[in-house]
Amino acid sequence: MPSQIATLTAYNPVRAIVPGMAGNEARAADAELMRRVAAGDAAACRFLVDRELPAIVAFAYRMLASRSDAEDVGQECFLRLWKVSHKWRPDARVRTWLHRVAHNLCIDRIRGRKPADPIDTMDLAADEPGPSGALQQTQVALLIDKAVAGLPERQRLAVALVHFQEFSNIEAAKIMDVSVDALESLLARGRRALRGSLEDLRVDLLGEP
Amino acid sequence: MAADRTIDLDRLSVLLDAYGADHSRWPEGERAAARALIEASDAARTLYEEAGALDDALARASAIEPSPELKAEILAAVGQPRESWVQALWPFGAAWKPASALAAAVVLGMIAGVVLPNPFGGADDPFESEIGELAMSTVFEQEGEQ
Repeated sequence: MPSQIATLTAYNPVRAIVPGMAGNEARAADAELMRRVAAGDAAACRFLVDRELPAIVAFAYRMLASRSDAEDVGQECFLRLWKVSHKWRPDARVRTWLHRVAHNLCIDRIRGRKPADPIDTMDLAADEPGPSGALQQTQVALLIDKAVAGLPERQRLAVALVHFQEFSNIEAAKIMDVSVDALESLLARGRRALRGSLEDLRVDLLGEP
Repeated sequence: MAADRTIDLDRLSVLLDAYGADHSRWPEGERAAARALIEASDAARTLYEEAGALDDALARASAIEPSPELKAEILAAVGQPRESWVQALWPFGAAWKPASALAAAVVLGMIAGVVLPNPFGGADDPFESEIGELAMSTVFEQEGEQ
């Protein structure tokens, strides 16, 4: 990258939009948002929470299979974001940064769990009563959650980032700190495992005998 | 962006295994070639449909939303005083405990230095003086030779 771009980005992130650089405009918008957060702008903080918290909680839930743990991770991520707001780097993306922090927090929690904790004792989303069709959907959703939660940690992370959080392969590899080839391998193994564990649900999921 | 390249059934299978049937998730440089192969090959189309079925199943996973209470707690934490340098050095609670321990260690060290005899001998120790003279003379001699 030419040094001039780096200089412009550092001094004036909003105007340093270089055509053809993917995500540069979004980075500039994030830098401006974080500048406002650092200045204590309540509207900017609320906007950021509304925009990013649902994705972070959903990601943490996919990793931890626990709503309360997922909310704890979401809260910790934002507390850390507020703390770093005054020294935000203009070349960073808020969403990527939050997912990276959430990833580390989730790994800490997973490794801190007792090995004997079976996945089905965790509070997978509550089985709420409702019309029979809705109950069926809830049950199917819980079984899929359980299948995803049963994947090995790295495969689950790859599947969560690409299939549920809609990150590109390059972004997901960056968050996981692996090569794109390694990510592809994790994704393929994860999806094959899911196909196997969901085979028994074929009738419920696909309406196939 | 990498140029599109031709791909075979094996590579398509890897792509579908990894990314599923959603074109937007495929690596940009292989999208066109993958779509062309699916249009041209029955076997490729079968793999594509199988991958799509798994995508549909995964799309039925639970979707959870953060609670309003969580949002409120996060927003309430905005603008709280940043941690001081003391808290950054000692994030485990009250800082007076490690500070007191450090001060006590300094005082004890000073008392020990005054009261206790030097375990390595004093300046009047002939053995130490000899070692010191030998060491310094070597240095001076080397400097003098240069």
